[in-house]
Amino acid sequence: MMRMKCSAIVLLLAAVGGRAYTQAFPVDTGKLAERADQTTAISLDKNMLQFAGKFLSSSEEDREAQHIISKLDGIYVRTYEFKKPNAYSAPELETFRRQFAGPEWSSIVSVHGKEPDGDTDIYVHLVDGRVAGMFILAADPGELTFVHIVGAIKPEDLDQLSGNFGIPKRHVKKEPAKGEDQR
Amino acid sequence: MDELEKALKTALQREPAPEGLLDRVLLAASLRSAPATVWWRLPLLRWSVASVVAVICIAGGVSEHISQHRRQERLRGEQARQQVLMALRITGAKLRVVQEQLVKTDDGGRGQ
Repeated sequence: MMRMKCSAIVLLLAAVGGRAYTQAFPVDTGKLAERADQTTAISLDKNMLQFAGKFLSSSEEDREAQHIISKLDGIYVRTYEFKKPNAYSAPELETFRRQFAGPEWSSIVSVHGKEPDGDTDIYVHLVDGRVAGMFILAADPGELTFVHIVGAIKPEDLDQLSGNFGIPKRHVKKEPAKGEDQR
Repeated sequence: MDELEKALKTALQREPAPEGLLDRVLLAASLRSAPATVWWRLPLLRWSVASVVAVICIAGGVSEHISQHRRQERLRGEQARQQVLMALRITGAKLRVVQEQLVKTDDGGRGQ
């Protein structure tokens, strides 16, 4: 009986852990890391962001970073670089996009060109009509990048984010998000 | 020659020890071998010194542990800072690409 209770607790913890991981990074990237020549994985939850915030200096870049991360609950980045072309297929890319087909995700930007100079999708995670996160899927011929930003970030903040770190600011044209709070 | 032998015999012949010599010798010997009362032989002082040395050693160890922990904390913090900056740089770079693509699309649409 005791053993059964222990097993149940272990299963429950595993389920909770699995759910937490899924929330931290909502895309199952499968075996991309095995095929990639170089993988970059950054996982920073709220605690780590707060911890890192203590070590940011007073330089302009660090102050901008501090301002941005103060709004976030987490930032998760996965970059897979491939030396060989066509390391991933279009259907595989579509599989990643389908993982955002649920009602809680809404596509705000979708750039798919004929030329292979990069496809980009930006989705927002909506909770009760409010943005609770954002996901960027950028596919270049030799690189696949997934960025998951957790927190009440607004699409307008993207402009600020892209304007930082030596990148010129431009206005982001966005698709209307389904169910997004317009207030 | 006989006179000399006689004198030597007299001088070297055994004589009983004077009365009380044994007691006096034993007393003197016991006084000489008595331990000198030096400070490190005092139990209280000895324990005090041992305690102070132990406290200094423990304090040194704790201080080293704290400073090592701080060094590791600083290292971890610096790594976390670099990760934050890298994550934001990657995000910013990808957003810039999107913006450029959107601007290109806009310009293309206007040109038609």
